[in-house]
Amino acid sequence: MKGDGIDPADEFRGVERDLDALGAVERAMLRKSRDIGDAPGLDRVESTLRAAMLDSDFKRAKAVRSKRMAIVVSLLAASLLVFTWYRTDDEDEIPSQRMGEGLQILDPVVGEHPYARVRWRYTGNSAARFVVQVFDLREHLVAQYEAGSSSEFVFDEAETIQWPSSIVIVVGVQRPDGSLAQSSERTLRSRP
Amino acid sequence: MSSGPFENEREVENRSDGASDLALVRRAIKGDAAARTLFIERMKCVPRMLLVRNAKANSALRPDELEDLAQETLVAIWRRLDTFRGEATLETWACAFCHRAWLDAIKRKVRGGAQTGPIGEVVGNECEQDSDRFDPLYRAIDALDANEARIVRYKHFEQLTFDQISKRMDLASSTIKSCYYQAIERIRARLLSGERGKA
Repeated sequence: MKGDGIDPADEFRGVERDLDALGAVERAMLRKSRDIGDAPGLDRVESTLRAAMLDSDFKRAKAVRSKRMAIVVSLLAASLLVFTWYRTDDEDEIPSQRMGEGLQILDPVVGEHPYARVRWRYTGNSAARFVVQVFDLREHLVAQYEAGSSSEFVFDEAETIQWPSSIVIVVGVQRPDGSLAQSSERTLRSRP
Repeated sequence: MSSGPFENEREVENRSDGASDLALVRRAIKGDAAARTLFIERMKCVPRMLLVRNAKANSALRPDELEDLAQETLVAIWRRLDTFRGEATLETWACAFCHRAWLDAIKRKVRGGAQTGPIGEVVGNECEQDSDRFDPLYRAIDALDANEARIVRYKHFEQLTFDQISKRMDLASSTIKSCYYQAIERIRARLLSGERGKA
């Protein structure tokens, strides 16, 4: 602080003087306090500190619990993510996940009666295998067929005679484990 | 008078130094029951130090106020215990808390108009001066690194010579001196920047 006309050495000594003064105050407090028998609040030191300790223990335990909970939630989220990723990965073999988009049942061929055969279009894996299911309108399974990897299935006429007048035909894409990845359905009401 | 397993508090305190107190504090924070009991015993100095400081200012705080202040200070000490770096004994460290807490309490009381008239003004002025002078010093010491703060405390609070500090810290005297002057320079710079901030 030469520019202000203050000698740094004086400031240095000033700091030392203030430290000495502060030290003297603290020493006096410490020294005199040793000779005091009783003081206001002395009998409450233990209860006050025990309460403060309990409070901090409780907060620490709470923080530990929160931390554990955060870890559990993170693990669950990570597991869910991995599960979803694997699921998606599985289904990636069949590109379209939306009902009817990758798989679509086509209208019956003109002139053919509706129960003669069912045809569909599928934009996914060319090696996909299909299942054809026939339900009545109360959702009872009437018949089920493995359609293989073709894009149509021809019904046995003798069999279709047994079916109710209105049916729902569902064509599904089969996963390797046999479950259905996606399906398309069509209700046929007119009997030949 | 205190009672319990540590009848002779002074003896316990005399056996202590900053390093062993730091170990005690760490155990107490972790929940060690014996360490906590010893810590509580050691903190019985707090109400006494507050009483001494209050007596020096013509008992500006009433006994009930002093009792409340003792509790506040004890809780503050416990909450800030993780900042104890073993630069001094626990009692010396707590003494700074007591001093600052008492000054704050008086300032609050005087500003709140609870103690008016000539005595109130005298006490208030004295506290303002003490506070203005010592608060920045306390903060500057807190900002030093642990070794520097320890050396400053040994030199000015325990009045040890450089040689004594050197022996206590097991460091060369020249190192102690160098650290000390560096610490004083840091304190000076911090005080100066504080003054500039106020201006």
